[in-house]
Amino acid sequence: MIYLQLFLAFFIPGIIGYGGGPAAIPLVEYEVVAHFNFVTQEEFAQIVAVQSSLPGVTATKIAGYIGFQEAGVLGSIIAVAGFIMPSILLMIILLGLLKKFKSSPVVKRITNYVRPAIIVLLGSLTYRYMSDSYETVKLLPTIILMFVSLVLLQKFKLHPIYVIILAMTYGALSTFII
Amino acid sequence: MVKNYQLFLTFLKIGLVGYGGGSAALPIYHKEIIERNKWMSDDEFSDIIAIANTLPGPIQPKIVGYVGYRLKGIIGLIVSLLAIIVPTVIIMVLFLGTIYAYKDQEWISGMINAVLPVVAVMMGIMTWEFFTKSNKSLGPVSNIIFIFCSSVILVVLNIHPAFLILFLILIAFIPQGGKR
Repeated sequence: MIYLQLFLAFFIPGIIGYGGGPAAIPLVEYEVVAHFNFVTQEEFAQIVAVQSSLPGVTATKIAGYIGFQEAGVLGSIIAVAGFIMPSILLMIILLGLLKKFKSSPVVKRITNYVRPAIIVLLGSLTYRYMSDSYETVKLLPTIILMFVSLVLLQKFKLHPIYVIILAMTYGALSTFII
Repeated sequence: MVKNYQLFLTFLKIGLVGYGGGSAALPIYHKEIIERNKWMSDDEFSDIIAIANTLPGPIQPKIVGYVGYRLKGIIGLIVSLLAIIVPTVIIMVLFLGTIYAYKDQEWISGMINAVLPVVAVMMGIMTWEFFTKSNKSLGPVSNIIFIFCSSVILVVLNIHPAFLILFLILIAFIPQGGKR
């Protein structure tokens, strides 16, 4: 059943994702691409591109979008609720108790121990997007686009929206020229 | 007394101007919730952030949901979350919907394919940032060991990440003697 699948696809990353919204992206990717096949790998990359160009809550936007795409408004609500409500409810219910733990070394260790797993997932995502890019836009444009966006994002600290718009313009124009 | 519409407008504003995921967006929350609206004390807000960090999941919705609940109960919680999430989701649905409707046009497919290398770079940058953070918090040797073991489990053995992460959370509870 689609609603249950949507719930699980976002509930799992929501309940194990330490490190905030951006860290949840590879976990969400695993569920919606590899596990439940809601979107293809390329579509997920496009969704990430669009969401990073928009303000607001990072991974939650993805939940809202994919939920809507799969099962309309109700699907969207279920995906978002599955993603964010467990931790919000825990926070409301256990606030007093959690106060004791907020500076506990265990909490720090959880984030530190989980991070390497996120690094591996992010690294593999990077690799897969590179090979996807090699297959669709070919080798030379991939290298040029990657180099230019790396310089613009890292060196000039340009906001992703401009880099995405630039890449899209290039992509559209290149189909007329080549 | 805080009104629900004030919660809605404030979080709508943050949702539409607050760029940057995760804790990068926290200064704007501080500015709106504490400095502008004076909805709670600085201490309470720092507590909320610290406690939000002890729980898994995206950080901003936890803060928005909690602040909404703390000020106006369940209705406040729903109003605040809707304000911060719905507008950008609608923009995404409209934009991607339009693009996918014309996907057969060659220039449209060229356009959306060209974001692949950019997203690869964005993910690469995030990988690198997490890697350097991890180097600092775990130390280079443990970091490499953790990454190596995670790679074997996730990539070679192809085990669902949830099992690995649950295991990592469990071992974080093991008391550690001495240093740090």
